[in-house]
Amino acid sequence: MTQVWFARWVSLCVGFLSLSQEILLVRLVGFVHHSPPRALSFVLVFFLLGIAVGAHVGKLVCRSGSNPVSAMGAVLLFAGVFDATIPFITAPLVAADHDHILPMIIFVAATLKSVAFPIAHQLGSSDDSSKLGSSVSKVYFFNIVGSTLGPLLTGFVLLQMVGLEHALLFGSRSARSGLACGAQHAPGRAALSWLLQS
Amino acid sequence: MFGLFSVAAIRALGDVLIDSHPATLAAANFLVLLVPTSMMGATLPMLVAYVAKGGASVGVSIGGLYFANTLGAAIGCYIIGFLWLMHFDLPSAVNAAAMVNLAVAAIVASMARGLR
Repeated sequence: MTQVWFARWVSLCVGFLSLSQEILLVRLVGFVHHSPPRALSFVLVFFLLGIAVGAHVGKLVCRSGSNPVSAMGAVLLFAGVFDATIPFITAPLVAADHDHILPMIIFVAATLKSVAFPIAHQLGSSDDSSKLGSSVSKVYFFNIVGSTLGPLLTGFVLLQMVGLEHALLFGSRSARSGLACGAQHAPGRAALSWLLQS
Repeated sequence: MFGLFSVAAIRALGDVLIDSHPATLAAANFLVLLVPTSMMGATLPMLVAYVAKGGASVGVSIGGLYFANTLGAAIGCYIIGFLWLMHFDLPSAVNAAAMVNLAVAAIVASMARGLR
């Protein structure tokens, strides 16, 4: 896999996982105390704030000159670990009437995955200025495809097969596995793959 | 422009397809929204290409643009979901969004003329 296709693959995966998780979080918040429309607004506000901050962090990573693939891999690995804890930390918190922690959980979950967005575009874009817009749009296209497939498959397939808790755990496993597959063909693949599979 | 007619269009579509399969309704709504959403989606690559011409890398350009874009989306979501709809109805929210969109288009067109 070339670097460009690796970037597109990551962009697709991040879009898929982000929007899948949003669907699951809306359901989680809806169970707590909101009607579906209000739950969607509640989750969207903090999810979008998280995406915005994550994009800013990704911008800083791109500006810093550090290895973008390693940085992205580390953040997505942490995102997978964080996502895996969501079912286990939200249940006792909500039961203890501490559901005010939900906005922070939503915000952090969105932020961690969104860091990859600018980095994927950096990796997948062309150095030729005449092809820059075209190459950026291709990476963005894959992100939108993933963002579209995520809610469809999660809302209409996954949630019909497994419960909310297992669906959230499936997402965290996918975050690590997806990036590990891509890491097989990316620069620094040995170290990154080891990091992701451990 | 589409926004100003969207509420009526989507309601009319729902009336016509009221007995249709949900997949048919989804496909029809997809086609209705395809043009305006494609136009909105096209703005990001164009803006990235424009900002990157100033010397910034793609990652820095798109990170900054996406930060602003998503921050605006979060603010809009809060205003509509928690403020506007408490006092006004859905069609007025759509019309207000359409007017803001037209205002942004007018500002951009004016700035583009100044840059030439």
